[in-house]
Amino acid sequence: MSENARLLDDMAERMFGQFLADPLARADATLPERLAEAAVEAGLPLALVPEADGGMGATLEDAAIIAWRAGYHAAPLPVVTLLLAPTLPIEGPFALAAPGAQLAEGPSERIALVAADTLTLHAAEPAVTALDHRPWVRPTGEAIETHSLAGIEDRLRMQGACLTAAAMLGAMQRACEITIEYANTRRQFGRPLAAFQAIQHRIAEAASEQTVAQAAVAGAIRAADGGWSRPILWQSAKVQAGRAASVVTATAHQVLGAIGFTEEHVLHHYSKKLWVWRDAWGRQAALEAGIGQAAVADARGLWSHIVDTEETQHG
Amino acid sequence: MFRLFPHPDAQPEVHDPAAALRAEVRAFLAEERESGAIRPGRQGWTTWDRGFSLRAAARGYVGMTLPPEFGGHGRSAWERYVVCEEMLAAGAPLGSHWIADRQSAPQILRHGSEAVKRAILPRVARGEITFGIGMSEPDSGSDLSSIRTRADPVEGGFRLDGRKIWTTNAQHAEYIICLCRTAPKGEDRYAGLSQLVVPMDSPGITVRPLRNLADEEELNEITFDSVFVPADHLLGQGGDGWALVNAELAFERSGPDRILSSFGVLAVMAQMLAETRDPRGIAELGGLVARLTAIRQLSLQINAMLGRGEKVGGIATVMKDLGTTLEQDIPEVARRLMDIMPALDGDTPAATLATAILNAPCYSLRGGTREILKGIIARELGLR
Repeated sequence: MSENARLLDDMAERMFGQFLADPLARADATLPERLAEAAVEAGLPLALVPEADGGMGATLEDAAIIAWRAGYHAAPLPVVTLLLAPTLPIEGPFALAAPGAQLAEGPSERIALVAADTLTLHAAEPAVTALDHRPWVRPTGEAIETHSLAGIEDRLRMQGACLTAAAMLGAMQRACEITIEYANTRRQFGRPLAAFQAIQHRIAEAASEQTVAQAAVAGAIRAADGGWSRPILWQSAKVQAGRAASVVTATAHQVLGAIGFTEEHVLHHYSKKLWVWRDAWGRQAALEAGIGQAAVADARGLWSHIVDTEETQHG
Repeated sequence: MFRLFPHPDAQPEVHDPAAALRAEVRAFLAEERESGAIRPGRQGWTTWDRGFSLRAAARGYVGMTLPPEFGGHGRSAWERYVVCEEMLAAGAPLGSHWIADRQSAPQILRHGSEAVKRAILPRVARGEITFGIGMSEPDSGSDLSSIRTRADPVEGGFRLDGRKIWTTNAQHAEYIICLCRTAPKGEDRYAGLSQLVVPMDSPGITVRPLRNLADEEELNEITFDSVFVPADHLLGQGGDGWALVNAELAFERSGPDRILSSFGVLAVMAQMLAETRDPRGIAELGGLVARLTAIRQLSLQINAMLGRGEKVGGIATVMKDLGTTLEQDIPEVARRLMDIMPALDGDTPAATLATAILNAPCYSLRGGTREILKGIIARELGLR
């Protein structure tokens, strides 16, 4: 881990931990607002802003650590917007929709939409409540501002997917820890749940999915930072994070039994975040279809499509 | 705490497009296809073809990471990975050199005597010898520590008695690395085991082929009846066989051969879907390609760690379990989506699917059963 990454990790862990270590803190309705303010105060939103513009100029890998920590604490905060909005030429605050989408996690009075090379800002109105009870907003009226930015859609799609997947890894890490801890302490039939092979194998499957997701997400993020990103890398990483999220949450709930289904236990905060994130910033089904379309359309053949870098294609 | 493969400290795979190397390997594979040595979809990587291995070795594709002083090519773990995955994706017959190249040579390089290294490693790199794996026995499958094959000390070496089973290509093998007891089983069931490099032309060895359900003779049972093995053919210190065998298994469990066994079916699917444009099929294909891409990233990271000599432990088992599950899923998805009647002597799609279905059951058995792998992962997670 780079020195920069370690600093960001410590800072994010301290900040999120301070607000969320106590499960009872989540009952306070003002928590999301205070958390967002504290994040700004700590300077976290400046991570991806270039140093020349007064930001930290962090790599995507370093910024992903902030998302990972937000996930690890199931922070009630639009962490992707937090990190990506300051990289856009619009004064905040505003909600940021994933490219092509018309909804964004709020609350916010304004919403930014991205399509092709155009970024527009609109007034926003409340739209729906997501699975994690967070308010999402939609645009209303004409654009207040319009910016023409070459390549904006591709950049935001890739960064949004990578950061969401990083947040998912953090949430899955905590969900797995909770599950393992419970399996090792809860006793039935005179022994801990963890002594039953059926339980061991089920948890091993969940951890395995997460391990593959970690490798895929790390690979996609490094490709982005290294300049050799390809859509198949970040799309596959996001798909795998989504699959892992489905297995990890199902396993956690099965192992924890009824207590995990209650409002009282902290697990549901993680499950609900994961259920939202697996279809946010790249819906799993849409990404799979897109990967398939690109694969069959590639005249170089499937194998070349999977492994060859663009240099090979043109060189 | 759960830290199987934490995000923040995951080591990067150094990026190197390797385009020139890929192009070179693909040209070689095209020649091999032309000549009929590669029959796409009708063979697996265990298919034994000495001629193919000799020609691959002549191009420098065998023993790539072995040091030049032992006849190797001193290439990086990443370069070897590239060559291996290109060959696997093309469906090449790798059986004559695969085990030697993948695990036996690295094992000998690390733990073998100087004499054995000098005698054997250059021959591996020339593609002229085949290695067998001597782990399972008739009464010891997943429970490997219960093996009974024993090596008793005699003048100048060991006398080996016992039986090994499920050894792929043993009938063609020049050597087998044999896990055996050199001390009786005591309180610690993992103590007293050793690995020996056994020349297969030694007096007292008989090999009985076991025809598999695909009608291939690749698996064998080997009987050792008072077989003399020279002392310098011992790997490690003696008695440390359990640690050695587990290190060997890390190589066996994390490579591209645990992802790509059914790749031919996936390629057939992509070709057919390019014609039909069936959206459901394309989405399913996309799901499988995403899975392959994700698991490959884990395999690449493990490969880089092994190349640096790091311990990989549980993540190699994760990679093998999920990779082989994918290998088994591919033909199952294909048969629900494509209008193909699997047939061994049919056209390429039909034969490819038939070969994949018939071989799929062994993917989650060879190299450690799925259940054993999950047990290893659970232990690493702190369960039990």
